[in-house]
Amino acid sequence: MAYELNQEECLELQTELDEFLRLSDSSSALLCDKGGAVLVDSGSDEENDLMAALTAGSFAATRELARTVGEEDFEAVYHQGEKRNLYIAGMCEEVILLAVFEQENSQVGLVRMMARKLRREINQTLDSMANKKEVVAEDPTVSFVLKK
Amino acid sequence: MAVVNYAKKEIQFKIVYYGPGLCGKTTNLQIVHEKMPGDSKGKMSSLATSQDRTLFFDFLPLKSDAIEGYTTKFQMYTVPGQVKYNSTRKLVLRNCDGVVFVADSQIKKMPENIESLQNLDENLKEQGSSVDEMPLVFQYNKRDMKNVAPVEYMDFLINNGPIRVPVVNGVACDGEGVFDTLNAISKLVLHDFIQKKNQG
Ligand SMILES: Nc1nc2c(ncn2[C@@H]2O[C@H](COP(=O)(O)OP(=O)(O)OP(=O)(O)O)[C@@H](O)[C@H]2O)c(=O)[nH]1
Ligand SMILES: [Mg+2]
Repeated sequence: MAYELNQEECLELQTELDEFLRLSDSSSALLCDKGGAVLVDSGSDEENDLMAALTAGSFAATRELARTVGEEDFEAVYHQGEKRNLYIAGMCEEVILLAVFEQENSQVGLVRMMARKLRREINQTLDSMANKKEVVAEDPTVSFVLKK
Repeated sequence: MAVVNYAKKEIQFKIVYYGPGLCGKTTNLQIVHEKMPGDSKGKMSSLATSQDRTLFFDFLPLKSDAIEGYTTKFQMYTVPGQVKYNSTRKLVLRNCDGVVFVADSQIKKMPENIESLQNLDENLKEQGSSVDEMPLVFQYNKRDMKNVAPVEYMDFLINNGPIRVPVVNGVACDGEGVFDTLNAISKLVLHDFIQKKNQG
């Protein structure tokens, strides 16, 4: 599965993720694919590549665990820390959300609700991205040239 | 497969180090992390057992300017080599763009090399690829050990497909061959990507 985000899709995902961040009172959030690659992020972005890699791993591992005990309909992982909490949720077959929120600023119920809202909002964009053939961007001037 | 973000002008590739247990996959990434200039590498992270065996994966993000006008990111992973961890190997292989197969050159490890390469092929086939289609580099590691197999013999055993896979001889713990391997795989991955693009 290759992901190509054009300007429009990127803007769409970015806008919705920013909105999610605001509504859920999270401190940072990102969308990544199940291979662990960041699609877009919002809030602080240090170590984002690592966070995406671990998010994909954690989601996959927990889902396997859930399947092993006979739970097919697995939606999210929630980690409660002392100050900061993590919420990881599937957005579609290929895309995962990671939200980081402070204990004192937000609650998991709110984050979960806003994650569901986000999933509805970006559903179409993700669908069209997933079904896009692997072709060059709409802009025919886009080309990839290797540096010497 | 690569993630291209036209808005951020960024391309991400995923490269996975594969091979039998203790062949030196983690060592390769550690050396890259140690020797790479500061601004082109991120933090290395290892999910390992208390005995330093990889349990889930090692991860090291690298950055380059290989493609004009874009930030090119190489996300480097290793898999756990131990046979019992096949389900985690599959997870780590997901969406990968290139594989370094690290083989252990010791004669007695040949069966493990063969088995691991077969396992790689099976796992790639499950995600619609195969060792023949995936950009692939072999590193024949641990050339410093006693009782190593001749390179020709290793070729005969594991490098016998329709197209010869590029081979780098290595002593990963001394850094030997580590960057040659990295250069070889990143070049293959970039060329594969550009070729597919130009075909539309
Ligand atoms: N003599 C010698 N030892 C090596 C070489 N490369 C790695 N080693 C050593 O081999 C041992 C295992 O190396 P790792 O890099 O942890 O092996 P791995 O492939 O990651 O193993 P798993 O995580 O279990 O799959 C370590 O003690 C390394 O120092 C080499 O070229 N020569
Ligand atoms: Mg290892």
